[in-house]
Parts: sequence; C-alpha cells; structure tokens
Amino acid sequence: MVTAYRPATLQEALSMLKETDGIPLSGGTDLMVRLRAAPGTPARFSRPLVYVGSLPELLAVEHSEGGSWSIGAGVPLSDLLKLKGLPEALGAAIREIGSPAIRNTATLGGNICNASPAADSLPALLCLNASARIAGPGGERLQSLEDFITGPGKTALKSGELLVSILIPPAPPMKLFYRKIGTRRANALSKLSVLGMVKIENDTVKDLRLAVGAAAPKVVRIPEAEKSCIGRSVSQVAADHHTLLSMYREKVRPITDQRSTAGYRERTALRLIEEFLTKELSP
Amino acid sequence: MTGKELRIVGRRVRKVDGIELVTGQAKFTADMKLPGMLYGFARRAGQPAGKLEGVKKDEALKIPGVVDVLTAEDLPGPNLIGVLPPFDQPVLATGDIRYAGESVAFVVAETREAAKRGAAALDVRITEVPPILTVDEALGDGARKIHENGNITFSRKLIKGDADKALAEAPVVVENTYETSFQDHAYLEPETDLAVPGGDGRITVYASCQSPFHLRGLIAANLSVPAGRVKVVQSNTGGSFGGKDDVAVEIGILAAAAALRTGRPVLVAHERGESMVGSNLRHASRITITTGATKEGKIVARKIKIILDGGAYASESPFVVMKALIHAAGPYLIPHVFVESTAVYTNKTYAGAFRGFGVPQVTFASESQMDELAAKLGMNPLTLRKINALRPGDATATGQVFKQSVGLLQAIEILEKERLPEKPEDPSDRYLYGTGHSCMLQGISNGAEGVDVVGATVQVSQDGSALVGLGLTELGQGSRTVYAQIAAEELGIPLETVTVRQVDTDSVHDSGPTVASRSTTVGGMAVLKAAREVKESLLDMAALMLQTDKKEIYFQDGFAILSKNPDARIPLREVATAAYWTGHPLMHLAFSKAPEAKYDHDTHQGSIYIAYNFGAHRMSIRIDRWTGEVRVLEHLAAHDVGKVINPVGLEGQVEGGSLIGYGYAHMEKIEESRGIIRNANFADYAVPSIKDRIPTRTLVVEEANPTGPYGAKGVGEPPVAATAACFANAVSDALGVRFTRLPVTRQDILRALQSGAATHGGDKNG
Ligand SMILES: Cc1cc2nc3c(=O)[nH]c(=O)nc-3n(C[C@H](O)[C@H](O)[C@H](O)COP(=O)(O)OP(=O)(O)OC[C@H]3O[C@@H](n4cnc5c(N)ncnc54)[C@H](O)[C@@H]3O)c2cc1C
Repeated sequence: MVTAYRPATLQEALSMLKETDGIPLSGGTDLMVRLRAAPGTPARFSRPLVYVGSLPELLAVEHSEGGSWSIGAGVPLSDLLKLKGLPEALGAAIREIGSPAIRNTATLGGNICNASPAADSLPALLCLNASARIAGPGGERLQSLEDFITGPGKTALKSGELLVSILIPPAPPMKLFYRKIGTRRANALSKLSVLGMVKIENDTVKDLRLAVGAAAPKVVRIPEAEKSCIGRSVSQVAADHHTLLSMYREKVRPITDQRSTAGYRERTALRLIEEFLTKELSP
Repeated sequence: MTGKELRIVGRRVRKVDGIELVTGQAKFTADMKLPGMLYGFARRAGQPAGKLEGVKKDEALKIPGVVDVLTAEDLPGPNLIGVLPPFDQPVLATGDIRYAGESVAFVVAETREAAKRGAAALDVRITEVPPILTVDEALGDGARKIHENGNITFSRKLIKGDADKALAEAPVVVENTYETSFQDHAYLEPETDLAVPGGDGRITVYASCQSPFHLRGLIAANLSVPAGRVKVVQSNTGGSFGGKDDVAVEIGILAAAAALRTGRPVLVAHERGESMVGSNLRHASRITITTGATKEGKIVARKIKIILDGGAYASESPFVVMKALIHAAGPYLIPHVFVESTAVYTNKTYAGAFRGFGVPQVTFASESQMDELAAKLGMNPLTLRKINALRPGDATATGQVFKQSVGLLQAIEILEKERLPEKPEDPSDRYLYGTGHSCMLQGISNGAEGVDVVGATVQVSQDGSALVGLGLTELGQGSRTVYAQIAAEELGIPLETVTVRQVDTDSVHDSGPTVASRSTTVGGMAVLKAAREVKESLLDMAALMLQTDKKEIYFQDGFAILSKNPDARIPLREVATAAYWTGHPLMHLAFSKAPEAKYDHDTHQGSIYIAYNFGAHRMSIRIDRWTGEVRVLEHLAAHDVGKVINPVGLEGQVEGGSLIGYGYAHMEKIEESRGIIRNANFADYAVPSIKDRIPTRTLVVEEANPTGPYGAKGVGEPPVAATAACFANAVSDALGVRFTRLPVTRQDILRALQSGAATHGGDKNG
C-alpha cells in the first residue's frame, strides 16, 4: 500500500515531510514513471508521499513592476504559459515540454527538483539567473539555481526541505535562440538542447547567455565564455567562434543512453552553438 | 451496375462513427465497469529462455484483494493458440520459456493494483537457458531447438524461369543485402478484453480486436466448450494494424477462464509496456537481392533471399513468409525470378501481422536496389521503373496475368507531371536536398493465404432505413462508412439512414479476418450483393404499388420513383411497410467469394490474388548537415485503387499508412539487449507525434477492378511500404550514400556525414 498525505499548509507539509521521511509529490509525471519498475508492475514507494500541489505558497505567482517574477513551484506548466509577459526563454522551453496533457499536470518545481540533465526548463532558468526559494524545518533560504542543481538527479535540497518558488530577476529584452532536439517533434524528452540569449546594440554584444541541456551531468553554462563576447562586435564574435567552441567542447560531456549517443549529442550541441554564435547574432 | 450516375459512392463523406470518436462519447472496452468486476494481470517470464520449474501461488493469494491465480494446469482446454495449425503457442507457459514476455501465471483481484501486487508476489522458478537472439544463431549448426521441429518456422520458394542462368548472362548485375528492424503497432488503445459470464452457461467477451470469430474459436477451444457458448463482441477498437489478433485471443482466453472460475466479470487491460513486450511486432528482416538487367535497363532476372526474424512463436509468420515471397520482386515484368523466403524462431517477442505484412520489408530492399541499378546504368530512377513496370496483360512474379486494373504506369506518369519542389537559396551550404522514388504492389485480400469469403446482411426497416451487418471490423480505417455508402447507394436512401452494426459473433456471419486490405473489396462486395437482393424485394413491392413493371422504377433519396414520370413517387418507408405486411423479405444474407487462388505450391506460380494495389511515391527531403534532422518537403503518394468510394477515407488511409511507413523508416526501433526490450514505452520508442506528420498528398488512379464493388480495391496497407522505401531512397540521394538498414535515424545520417561515407555534403572540418 502507498501512504499519501495531502497537507493544507506549508507548515503542515514541512512537518509531515519530517515526521514521515516523505517524498514530495507534485504533478507526478516524473515520480510515477521513476518509481514504476518493469512494464506493468506497480510503482514501488518505499516511503510515503506528501502531495505539495495544493499548497497556496507553491501556487502563487507574482510579477513585479520592475520585471521580476516569483513562480510557485507547484503551478502546472500549462498555467504558466497563460501568464502575460512570462520571460520568453522560459515560455519557449515550457512549450516544448511533453504534450498538453503532461503540461496540465507537470510543474516547474517538479522539473527542477527532478534535476534530470534533460529537464527542459533548466537551460532557460539558468540563463535567466533564477534562484530557488526553499523552505525547511529551519526556515527559509535562497539559493541560485546554478548551485541548487548539483548533479544528475541531485539537488541541494536537504531532507525535509521543499522548493517553494522560483525567483527570476528582471532581464533586459533579448533575442532568443532555442533548439530542442528530441526523437520526434512533440512529446519527446530532449536528446539535447541549446538556448542562447543575446542583447545587441549598434552591432555590439551587450549581453550574452548560453546554456546547453542534456549534454553533460548538469546544464552547461560558461560565464567566462559569455563574458568574453560582451563588448565585442557581432562579426568579431562570429570570427572568433572557434575559440569559444573549444571552451564548450571542454564542458560538453554527454552520455550514451536509450535516446541518443554521446557522439551525436556532442557534435550536434557544438554545431548549434556555432549556429548561435555565427548566424543568430547578426540582426 | 446501377445504370445511373453514382450519388453517394465517390462522394466526400465524413466517417459515420467519427463524431462519437472525436468527442469522446465512444466507449472502449476499458471504459466498461461492471458490478463485481475483477482485474486480471499476467506475470511474465522476464527472461528470454528457460525451463519453467514451477509457480507457487501461496504468497500471491495472501495479498489482500487477490481472488484467484491461474497457471497452465488451470486452463480447461489444450492451452494452445495460433493462426495456422499446428498451433505452437501456449496461453500460459508450461515447460519452455521462449521469450521474456511469456505469461506464466494470471492473477485476478478486486483492483488492478492488487492483481499486480499478486503477480509480483508469485514464486516463479525458471532455470535459465542461453537464449537464441539472432537468426544466425538460430540457423547455426547444432543450435538448440526453440520448438520441437527446429528453428525454421516456415519456408517457401518462388521459381519463375531460370534466374541463375539469366543472371550469369546479364550484362549488368547489382547485389546487396538489406535489413529492417522490428516495429511496434503503437495504437492509441493497448489490448483490452473483458469477459462476462452469463447466467445461461454462456460467456461474453468484449474485445478490442480485429477478428472476433478467430477469438471465439480459440476461446471456446481453450475453455473446452462449443463455439456457440462464446459470444465475442468487438468494442470500439482504438487501432489495430494487425496487432489485435493473437494477443486479443491470449488475454481473451485468460479473462474468460478466470471469469468462469470466479463467476465474475474479468477485465484485462494492457499497459503500454505489456503491449510492446507481450504482443506481436513487425518481423525484422534480412534480404539479399541480386538483379540482372540489360544495358538499356530491362530487368531480366532477380534472385532474392529473405530471412524474417519471427521471434518465439509462429503467429502469422507462415503468411508473412508467403506475402514477402510473392511481392519481393516488385511490380515489374521480370522473366526470371527466384525467391526464397524463410521465417526463423528466436527467443524474442513474436512477430506477426502488421499493416503491410512483409511487403514493407521487401519493398524497401527491392526499391533500394532499383535505385542502385539506375545509378549503375546512369539512368533516371523513375525511368528505370517505368521501363520495367507491369502493364495490363503482363505476368507478375507468380505468372498471374491481370488484363485490367494494373495502373502502375499511370501512377508513375502522375509523378512525372508533378514538378519537384524548389530548393531555396542556401548560401550557408548547411542543407542537403534529396528526392526518392518507390514503386510497389500489394495483393488485395487473402488470396493464397486462405479462404476469402464474406457474408453480409442488409436489413431494411419499415421506416425505410437500413441496418448492415458483417463480420469484418471497423478499426479506424473507415470501413463502416464505406459499407454505409454502398448500402445507401444501392438502396437509394440517404447515407444518414444507414447503420452499420457493431460486430458480435451471435449476429453476423463469420467473414474471415479483417486483414489484407480486403474490407472494401471483398466486404464491400458482399454488402453490395445483400443490398441488391433486398432492393429486388422492395422493387417487387413498389411495382405492385405503382402498378407497373419493376424495370420502370428506380430508388433515389428515399423514394421509389417512376422512370417515365419522376413526379410519381412513393416514400420507401411506405414501400418497406407494405413489404413487411405482405411478406416481401426485408433482409438478406449475401456472400462475396473471391475467385479461388490456384497455384503450384513448390514454385508459387499461378493466380494468387484477386487484384493488386499499385503505387508510386515520391518524397523530397531536406537534411540539416549539422543536426541530421530530416524535413520532408513533399510526399506524393499515387495509388491505383480501382475506384474511390470515399475520398476522405482514402486520404486518411494514405496519410496514416504513410506516417507508419515514415516512422518505420526513420524513427522507430525496438531496442533489445539480452532478449529484453529496453524501450517498451513511448518516451524511448519514438512513434511519430502529430507534429511529425509528413505532407503527404494522395493522388488517385482509378483502373477498375472487376472483383471489387464499383471497381474498388483496397488501400489500407500499401502506403506503408511505399513511403518507407522512398524515404530511404531520398536520404540516400541527398547524402550520396546507400543506406541498407531501416530505420535510418538522424544519428545514422550524421554518422554517415561525419565518417565521410556520404559523398555529398560530407563534413570538411570533422
Ligand atoms: C510523457 C512525458 C513527457 C515528458 N516530456 C518532458 C519534456 O519534454 N521535457 C522535460 O523537461 N520533461 C519532460 N517530462 C518530465 C516531467 O514531466 C517534467 O520533468 C515535469 O516538469 C515534472 O513535474 P511534476 O510536477 O510532474 O514532478 P513530480 O513527478 O511530482 O516530481 C518530480 C521530482 O521532484 C520532486 N519535487 C516535486 N515538487 C517538489 C517541491 N516543491 N519541492 C521539492 N521536491 C519536489 C519530487 O519528489 C520528485 O523527485 C515528461 C514526462 C512524461 C511522462
């Protein structure tokens, strides 16, 4: 039998997690699949489930005038798509997650906490410099998402802690480049993805962010590489893209699994980065 | 024929059962909840080969909610199923475990969860045996015998002329070996059966299935009861494509046996993983072809060896062997042909019927080689096909001659008239463009594979409406709509007043299996005949009422009308009511029987099929050199269908079949290691999604087929083979390298570019 709890408040949820050593359950679209073993066999829950999808704190969405966002971890992805002014990169990433039915139940918090190298919201959120608001027995804390994800399937969440919301600071309008490669065009987990954002003024790169998903244990973002582009002209960046590519080649360390081969992932990731640096920068 | 213009046949009509399906009103087997219903779940072997030493039920029976556990000894009958005797497949394993998906015990419980838990708790002891996982191992000297009579399931030869001699003398010869992998049917609704014991000693099985009478026969045999005790009702079926035959029988027997033991309804509803592991797949294949031709491009001979991996059980392998055998040489006039076709047992999920039935495999091989031959001859690939295309009066590979309804040349000519899509300017040199062609034929109906009779009833009610019943099933292909159109056309009544009933084995005549693109052709003919018989009876009645000869009357829009004076008309409802009162029959059962196949069993020379569908496809693609991504820019699918009954239905069949062919050629691959399927889910098994749809355009050739209604012939299967073959040719054209294995995934494409194998667009900077 599976024991499941449905706390009404965050406080209640936190104490239940602590008392029962429970597993947070949000949309369940990762958890249910993960805990199911062979085809047809029942899910194996070694610990009780604590449903966090109805906690008010996790369902709240705030958008400040200055342009920052606070997005509850438990908001279904399809609801996020209805928000006006949602950062374009996040919208683009979410739109390609799963299918309508999956997006109706799957949540941003689940996508982040599952911490799959192929989680599609992560490249966007990392480029947006998002951070995680975490609640635990000892109170609340904030952590950058970069540090929050520690490895494949691993986060900095301590036992008994919950991700409450995701904070996104204001970002200037930027041009977006997003390529997700899956085994098919819809409802497919990423073989790999490349997300780039760039702000150009008078042919000069003012801001540039670039993240590669599913190509290493964690999403790849290289601040030095990005910084080296800033202040340079578009054509300089394009001309020098080989230097940049070699930096990414160092960090792109994909694996071979049932969805793709390491060789395919690496090669294609670098090609897409090249496309971004050479083609997409020019207006 | 009617002697008049057709009014309903040939018109674009909406599927008669479409609204219920798209609005979710249609109920499927798993939607049924009956009082006291139990859930059944099979424990599977989980390893590909072994000896079942025993199953201990105790622990499972202790699980709360578990009501009963069945093992092989608990089945009242022979515990054997199959398509062609001698059957070789147990419902529940007895001694040998032959594939990992083999059911060893069946647990029924109050809930699905409890049944699963019970299955997990069973103590199943299997002694491992090294599995045989490739056809080469299976055919190797001294290989362990998977079945008593060895590892060859079925093997046949086709011999026309002297291929060896002709090849030795041929000025141009090409040879190559091609391989294809397994494919899953991937229908939306996994297999589901519900068995309900009746108070009258009968049992009713509601089934998502393709051939209800096949189920009835095998369920009755395995329950050891007369067939009449079992009633099979085909529920709305969410796709089948050949897949809901063997497995529907298997779970039907389990559900029925458990229902009889417990006296309660038992539902078995597979999940996706079970569907992929525990039901038949499309045969993987290895095909070697040698083609000899003159310098002018006339093919003189083909020699072909086909090996099909049939997995653990025979299933439809014998018929797939034959279909591959007969179609392998392609739709060409070739004087000398030798084909050997063999299915082999391995310790893998069994292979059986799947839309196309052996033809996609051989068409890919044969059409790849046509392109290779064209390249060697320096000839346009379509011209080469045209030179060799079968024409009316030509002998097929089996020596059968069709004097009409051979529309391949017309199909090719349609393609020739269509301009190629323009290549956009691409200064970056990033994209590669390619175009591929394929020609094919597909035998319609069972032909040499078995009896080919359909019995259909048409019943007119006093209100002038009609009810059609036959034993062929609606599986999404639109056959109900076709039957309704035919009945409406013949009776001169509005389409909306025709109902085509659900198939249940109590109420319709056994019409053989719903397979082989035969529904419209053979089923439609039976409906047409039955409708005409009822019409004769109504005409007799109308003649009495209008006091004239029945030759002077026609039926249209629900009226009996006097030819000489169309204002003189009586509503058909009045005619039908009068017929009822006066005892003019309002219902008829009519049979359509295809001309019998006559052929030599050693050489397969003779008449095999009643007709062939001929097709010519062209696909233009763009490949992204950086990612290997393929975009289909245009896909033209020209088929000779004899006569279009419903253009909308035809397009649906061609587009759907093409997408299955595209998935087969580009995306879908069963990943198996050590005899276990590793990607038995839709996240890892990439069946195309709606966004992967390709821009298929259906082009029609109508060369009337004398054996079909209004000249029609089927089209359900043909697009699969043609699409897969022209996709492979398009990729090969774009890259300048021959791909000899399906699927050709984007990884394969990128690898070819990277390794330098591709002569076009190869990677310069590694
Ligand atoms: C068919 C299908 C297609 C999919 N396609 C994609 C895709 O294209 N791209 C993609 O990125 N993903 C995809 N996924 C994966 C999944 O849908 C997403 O990762 C989704 O966002 C997970 O959210 P959830 O609410 O369902 O998480 P759950 O399954 O409920 O939880 C996931 C994990 O996060 C933990 N967790 C959840 N909420 C919290 C919280 N507030 N605090 C702490 N821990 C928490 C859970 O304990 C669990 O470990 C797909 C899944 C399926 C089944």
